[in-house]
Amino acid sequence: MKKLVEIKEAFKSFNLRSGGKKLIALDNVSLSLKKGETLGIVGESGSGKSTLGKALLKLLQIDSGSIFIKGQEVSDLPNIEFRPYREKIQMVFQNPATSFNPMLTVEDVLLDSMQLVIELSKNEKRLRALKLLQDVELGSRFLSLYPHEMSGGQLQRVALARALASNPDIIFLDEPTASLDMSVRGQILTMLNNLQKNRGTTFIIVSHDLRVIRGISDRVVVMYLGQIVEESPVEVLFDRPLHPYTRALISAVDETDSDRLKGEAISAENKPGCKLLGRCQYSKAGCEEEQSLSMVTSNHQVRCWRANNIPQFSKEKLP
Amino acid sequence: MTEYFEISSRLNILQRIIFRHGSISVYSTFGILIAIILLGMLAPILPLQDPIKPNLLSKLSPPSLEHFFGTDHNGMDVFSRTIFAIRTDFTLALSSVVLGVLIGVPLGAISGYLGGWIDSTLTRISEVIQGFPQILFGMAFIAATSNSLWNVVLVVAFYNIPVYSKMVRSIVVPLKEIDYVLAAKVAGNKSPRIIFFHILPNALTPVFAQLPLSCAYAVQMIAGLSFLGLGVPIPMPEWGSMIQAGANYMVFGKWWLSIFPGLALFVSVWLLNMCSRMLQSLWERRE
Repeated sequence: MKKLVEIKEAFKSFNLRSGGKKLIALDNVSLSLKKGETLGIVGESGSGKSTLGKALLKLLQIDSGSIFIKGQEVSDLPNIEFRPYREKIQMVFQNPATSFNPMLTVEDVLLDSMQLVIELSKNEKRLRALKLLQDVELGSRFLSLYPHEMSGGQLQRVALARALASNPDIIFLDEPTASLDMSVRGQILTMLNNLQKNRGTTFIIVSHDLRVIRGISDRVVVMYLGQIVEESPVEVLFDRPLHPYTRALISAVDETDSDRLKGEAISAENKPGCKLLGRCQYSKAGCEEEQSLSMVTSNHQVRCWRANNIPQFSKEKLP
Repeated sequence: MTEYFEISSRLNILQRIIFRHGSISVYSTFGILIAIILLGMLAPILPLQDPIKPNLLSKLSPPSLEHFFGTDHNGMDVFSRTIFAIRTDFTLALSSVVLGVLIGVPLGAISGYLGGWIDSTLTRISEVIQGFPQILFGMAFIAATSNSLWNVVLVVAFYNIPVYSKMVRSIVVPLKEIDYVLAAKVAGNKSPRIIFFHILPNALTPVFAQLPLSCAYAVQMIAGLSFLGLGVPIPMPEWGSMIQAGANYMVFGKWWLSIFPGLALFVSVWLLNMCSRMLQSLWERRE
């Protein structure tokens, strides 16, 4: 199948104000996406998940590497020439409270996000806006509402409708359920699943909540301090996680904490070896040497020196 | 505290100001201010004496039933001149503020959104303008051109530009990274539309709160320039020039020439300041 998106060795660092240090947000990240697939990205805050999404949407410029959308290199394009691609790739933001202009109604927002769709007349766009609201299970009365008149869950539905408005191929969802109530989370996830089934849109969904990732993704990428540390289909990852960091994340959810890490994430200095060094209970001499993602099976990659030598992951009660 | 915010967010604008400042002060401030403006607007149809008609027979006569505030050294009625001066001062102040806003606000928005060298250049220019004493600049400008109303407006407007551009810039800079602006970018909006349609309407509340304060400052400034003989041409009624003219007669005990226009100036500036403070409290509560 043809690759819809391909990211090759993307690198992005931010200058820290103190002492000329650099924070590495993306460290040679490579990944590719097929049409209709849902890719989950997991990792703690500061692991570069959102940076990856913003780079993909050209909300920020990567330092080196390349991004291909439908085979076309886009990371070097100036903003004007990237504009046609905006229609194809959309985003849902984490916090519904800040992702809507307080001065615009839902209708304004939806029409505004259809401005790249030039083949429709204004009235057709209105009809489409109504149809979009139905797709996200909201009634027509929402068209005239302002953001402050809606709840977080309703706003997140509108955010999804906004992302769907230009009929994109890819939607990047940045923690779409993180700021919602537990009861609403489930509804939103079910809706996402349905939309994907009906439309065949490719989703990239970022979350630190493994249950969300597990429920919706086909494939999962685990990120730690700007690096991809493990990548595999979702069943494989939850069944047989290889990287100690992935294991720590999974064991933290089921509260066995069998693979707990020590301390906190160390600032992303550009050292060649394993970034988990010092936090990992399995680390040994040799872990500080330069490493890369290595294939374990045909669809499972991991970045760990000791992936094959550490005890089997014991899963007792997974969520 | 949260309860306070919850209550106040459910009220309309007037109710919110009253909630914060008390109904007496709000009604009296806005009431008197509106009365003053109405008085100025209606001055030509009110039964007042001609403000620029000299009467050499009754020069420097003290306040009486015929001349409520007395007459000045040309025999013009001080009461009528004080009322007519509302028109001059408020019109000049308002037009200079509006001119400053119309230029300053878009400049600030562009400077804040685009950043980079455009932003640094505009900010440095604003700092230079604000660092230069306004009276000195006004004197130089009016000396170099001429003593006309339009030039007074230009001088005051010129100093309002950096006030508004800096204020709007400081609001736009954090707003340009907010999610809904990024969303507008993702939706394919071009920069001008993002600035003027998506960002600017959300940055205007403090501008409105600043307006009365700027008007107060402009009234003071115009009066100040006129006091130095650089503002409004004589014999047009204007508080600053009236105070200046009267100052010479103060030492002879003819206090009414300066005191009444001075009081009018003081009350207007004070009310405008109060008004601005009340509007400002609306803005503070928003986030």
